[in-house]
Amino acid sequence: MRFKVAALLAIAMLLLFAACAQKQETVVREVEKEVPVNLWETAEKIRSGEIDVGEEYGMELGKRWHNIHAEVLGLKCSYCHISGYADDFLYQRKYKLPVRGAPGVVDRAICLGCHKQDGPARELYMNAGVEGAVNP
Amino acid sequence: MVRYGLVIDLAKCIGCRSCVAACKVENMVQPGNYWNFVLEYEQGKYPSVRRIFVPMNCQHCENPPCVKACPAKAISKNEYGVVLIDYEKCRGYRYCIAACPYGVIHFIDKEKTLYPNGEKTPYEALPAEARHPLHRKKPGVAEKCTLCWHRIEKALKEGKKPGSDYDTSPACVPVCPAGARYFGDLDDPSSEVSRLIASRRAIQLKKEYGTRPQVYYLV
Repeated sequence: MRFKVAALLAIAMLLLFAACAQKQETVVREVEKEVPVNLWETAEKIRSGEIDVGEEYGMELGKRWHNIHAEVLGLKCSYCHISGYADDFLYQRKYKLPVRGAPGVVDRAICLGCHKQDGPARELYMNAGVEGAVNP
Repeated sequence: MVRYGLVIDLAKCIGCRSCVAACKVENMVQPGNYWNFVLEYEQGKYPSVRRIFVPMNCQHCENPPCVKACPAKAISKNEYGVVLIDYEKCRGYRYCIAACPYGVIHFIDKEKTLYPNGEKTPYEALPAEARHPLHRKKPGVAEKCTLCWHRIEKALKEGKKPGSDYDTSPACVPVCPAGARYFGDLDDPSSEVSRLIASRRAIQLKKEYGTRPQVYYLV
């Protein structure tokens, strides 16, 4: 009797793990869809509200951050998430594990592509050398 | 105009983490988060190798991406050039953490205590009202180095010159046994920090982001 219960429990756990894995795979596949977009046009549509990216700010899947970058722009996870930083990469949180479920750390150099001065996305970084970015 | 900043001499830094410990105690930084941290790596090939220690904290950028990224407008740069997070306004969106190219902003996901049994230390048990507003951290907000603004603010109120003695400097500066850290006004040409930047090879980290950090490293 005890053996039967243990076997049933084991089967139930296996089924649960399989279901979770399938769900995770679905999420990744959805995120990794490839949509060729015009970045300037899309950014403008997001700003004007023509493209709905949701109201809720946050980094989790399903909130604005990933809605914009993964869903609307169609960026693959691996476009931003890398497996690790180089040894001499100066980034304070480099030894901190990424949040649970994240496929890897992110080098901010990727963000620089669009979030630079006069770039398609909201300007976060100024172009180096444009204004006083040199040593005194 | 006053623009406070740090100069760190990498030739002097021995990687002892005194600055890390002083910061932790001074600012009641909870376990797992570091306002101040020392990165280290090796350079060269055997037998000509050396270990590089790079203390990292908020760079108090002149053009801070965290300020621009925050949807709640909870981060600001004050008139003395110090970038501060308002814990009352912070909604924990973590956009600042994503935007910072130096990785110096941390998120408080839950309250952690230094005692392993979850009991609070006397410092941790201090009620919010008894703390400086910059020490009223709570779960669900982002935190980072304030350049010990509570000390600078107090010095200014008392008519003292920030950086002139132990109590008016950021906690990480006077504790450095190697004397590798300097604090002062970057806009004052006669200050020690300005003289060091002018006379030595001083670099700012990740200049390609155009953030214009107010922390300089002497190499």
